[in-house]
Amino acid sequence: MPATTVHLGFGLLVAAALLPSERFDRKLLAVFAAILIFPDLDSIPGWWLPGAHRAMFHTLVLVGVAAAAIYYDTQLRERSWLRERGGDWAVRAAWGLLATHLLAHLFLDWAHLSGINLVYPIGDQFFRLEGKLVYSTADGWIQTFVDIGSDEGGGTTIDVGQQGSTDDVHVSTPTDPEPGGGVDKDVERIVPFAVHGWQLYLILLGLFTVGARRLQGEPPEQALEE
Amino acid sequence: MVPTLVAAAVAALLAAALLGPAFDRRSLFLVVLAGVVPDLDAAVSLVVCGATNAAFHTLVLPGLFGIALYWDTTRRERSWLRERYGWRGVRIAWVALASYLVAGIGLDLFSPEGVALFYPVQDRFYAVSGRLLYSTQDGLVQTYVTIGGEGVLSVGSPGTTANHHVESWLNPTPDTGWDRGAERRLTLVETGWQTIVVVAAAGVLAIRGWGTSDRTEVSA
Repeated sequence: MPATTVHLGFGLLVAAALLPSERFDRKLLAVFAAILIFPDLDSIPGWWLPGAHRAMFHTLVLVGVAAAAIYYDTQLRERSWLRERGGDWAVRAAWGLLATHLLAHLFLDWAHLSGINLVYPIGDQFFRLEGKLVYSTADGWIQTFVDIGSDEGGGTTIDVGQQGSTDDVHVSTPTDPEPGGGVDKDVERIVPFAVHGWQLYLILLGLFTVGARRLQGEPPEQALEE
Repeated sequence: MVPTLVAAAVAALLAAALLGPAFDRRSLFLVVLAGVVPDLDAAVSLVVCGATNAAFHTLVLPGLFGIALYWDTTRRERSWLRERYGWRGVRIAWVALASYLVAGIGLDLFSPEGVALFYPVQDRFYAVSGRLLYSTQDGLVQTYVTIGGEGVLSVGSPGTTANHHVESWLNPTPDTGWDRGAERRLTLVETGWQTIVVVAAAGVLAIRGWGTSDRTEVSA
């Protein structure tokens, strides 16, 4: 996986962009970290449920359920649990961080290694987004994200990066480096922080953004009223 | 070079994150412009050999701009920028500078093709790549930065402006001058992660734009 550190870095940028007027204090950063780290805990059920990592918590189904729950609580109920506990701040943070989880964690994993199990548990199929989009004066438009071909029987096949199901896809993690269930012993465990230049870039980008946000002076009153 | 569309996406995310109350369509446009302007040095490479990722991807230009901005807004008794454009002008100028440095230069610095950070003082390209991980067998592994002969920290370098050419739509061949016969490629995205950065920027702008129109309706 892109390491959790890369998700945190890119997530900081996306969260800062989605929550333009919040202060990035300890409280917000703690909730942010909890939401961004949480999906990767599905590597722990991998001990007894092979293939759970990148499936169980890396699914659009969970995003849909969470969005429905926030909507029901804040819009349909007479008294919102979330608003009573944390006021409008909690509602804004909930929506902003749910969107951050989708854009900075799930989507980034979708584009990496074996991808994610998009609609688990409704369907059990990993998808990986990989490709390029180029216009060439010699060859015209080239895109390699979706590959349409034909199989031996003459039918059409559409390849959008299908990778297999939880039965045969295993993404190595420090807690569960080898495929198959059970706790592995005497194996090399690798905790990646960043691999390639771009991953380090995304980490530094997030740190820069939040550092700049904290250094910025408060806007004057009249700027807020405009 | 990393596709200009990706630089524009990073710049747009920075604008949304850092402009605060100064965020609107015009300031967004200015900040994105600052993030993509460095890529225009491909046009300079038609005249000057090896100028792509060098002529405008240098710290010299934003360094001078940053010093001038700092001097004008904090050292002078009466700031020209603040008197003319107010608080918003100062905020937009700083965020545009950050966009130039981070989205324009930084993104390419961490790509294999690299940037000539100190051009024209020095014509060497720098590219940061490597890995940082902890292995139970090898311990902490870090290959981004190496410690050179005299204890100097150094990063990888793909060459100098004389022997390293960065391909672009404007100048696909290593020479100067407009090559009529050459194949030109306009790359929008090269990899999955770049696609996701573009998707995330589009998503954030859609959400922010929706939120703003929501608010004006309520006040009206």
